[in-house]
Amino acid sequence: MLLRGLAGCLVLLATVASAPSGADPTEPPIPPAPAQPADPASAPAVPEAAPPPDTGVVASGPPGIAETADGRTLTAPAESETQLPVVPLTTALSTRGWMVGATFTGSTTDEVGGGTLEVGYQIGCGIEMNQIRLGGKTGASVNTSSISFPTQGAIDVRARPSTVTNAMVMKKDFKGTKTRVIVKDIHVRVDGCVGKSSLRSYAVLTSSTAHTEDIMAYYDVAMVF
Amino acid sequence: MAPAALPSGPIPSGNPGTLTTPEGLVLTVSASKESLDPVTALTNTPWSREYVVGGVFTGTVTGPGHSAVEGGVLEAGYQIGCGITQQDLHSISTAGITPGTGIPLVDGELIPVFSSATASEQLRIVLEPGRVNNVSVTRKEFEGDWARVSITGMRIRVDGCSGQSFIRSFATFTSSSDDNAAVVTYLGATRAV
Repeated sequence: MLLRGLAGCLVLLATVASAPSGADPTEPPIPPAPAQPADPASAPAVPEAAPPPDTGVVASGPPGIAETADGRTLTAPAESETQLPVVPLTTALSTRGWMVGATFTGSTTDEVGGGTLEVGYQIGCGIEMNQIRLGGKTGASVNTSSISFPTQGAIDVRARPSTVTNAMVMKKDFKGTKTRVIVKDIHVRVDGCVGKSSLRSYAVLTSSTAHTEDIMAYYDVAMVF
Repeated sequence: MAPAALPSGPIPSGNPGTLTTPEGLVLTVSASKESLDPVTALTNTPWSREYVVGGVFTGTVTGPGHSAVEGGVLEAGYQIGCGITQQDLHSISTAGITPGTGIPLVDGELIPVFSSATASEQLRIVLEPGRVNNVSVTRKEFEGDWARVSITGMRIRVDGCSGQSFIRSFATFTSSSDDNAAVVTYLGATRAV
């Protein structure tokens, strides 16, 4: 109840805040006022440039580099990473969502080609909400000298310790020595998180030959929201 | 956030696993350049554990007729054991109020109305005995008589652990011919955190 009430307030605030920018783009522009005699005082004020929208640009981690036993070098850097928190589809504060994007690449030196590049996101949640139980009881008690009406309410919050959720976006099979996966505006989310949440991207590059498999992982710097 | 801890270097690997078939083929599965480094988990809580792991796992078939074997599978991964698994955490808050009235003439009070309030808080932690999680990193299918898997900078994790946690690598090497199969496993040294 309390959570829902809080969430309701937040949504209301968000609605109020976004109202001025909620103009219908299909609405025809307001025609300019009829030309007036030249009057510097009535010149329309030049609107100030709006601040650029938050794109959620985040720093990428150091590229993953691995030397294979047969002398090749595998590299897996990521670039142009964005992680923008977005309002989730539910009104509960415990649902967290992000709009994410990045360019993951993987390459190997030499002519040996083929393998997979798996990319995705890991979401860590400090405390996971399981259930909230609201209980109450009331009754009447009569003894020799008085009548009373005991009333009791209980809130039972059932939380779970932290968990990490793996959200794989895709696993790309490639044949050459270079591979790339671009993701843009992917929506990742976690439900039932009441603690702090953190997010990082990952990429696992696998270089395969007939007999060997060299696996290397890249992880982005974790962001705490 | 503090930068992730750098791998703290290699650890000694365990003894290779060997298997000799009645025909005299010898399967060997071994590891080298292993590392198991505990790092701060993504959740920043003591219940999640994370390790950066790496290693090279090799399986070979030697002995008479080894070039005739068809191939097999080399699976490499990690086993994480947790002493005590934490399940739910209950926080039960209770508040109550008891209004009442005295029965006139019997108790003889001047104002026979009273009210009392109560409040209590109870914390309940649900624990489970430990579990072992198997995390398979890869299953490499190969043809012929050898295979190798290398792992670099991979993060392996376990959640909901409130006791000590243990990690070790494993590699299971399977070699098959038309009619027979042989399976042998290597287990790495255990690291406890």
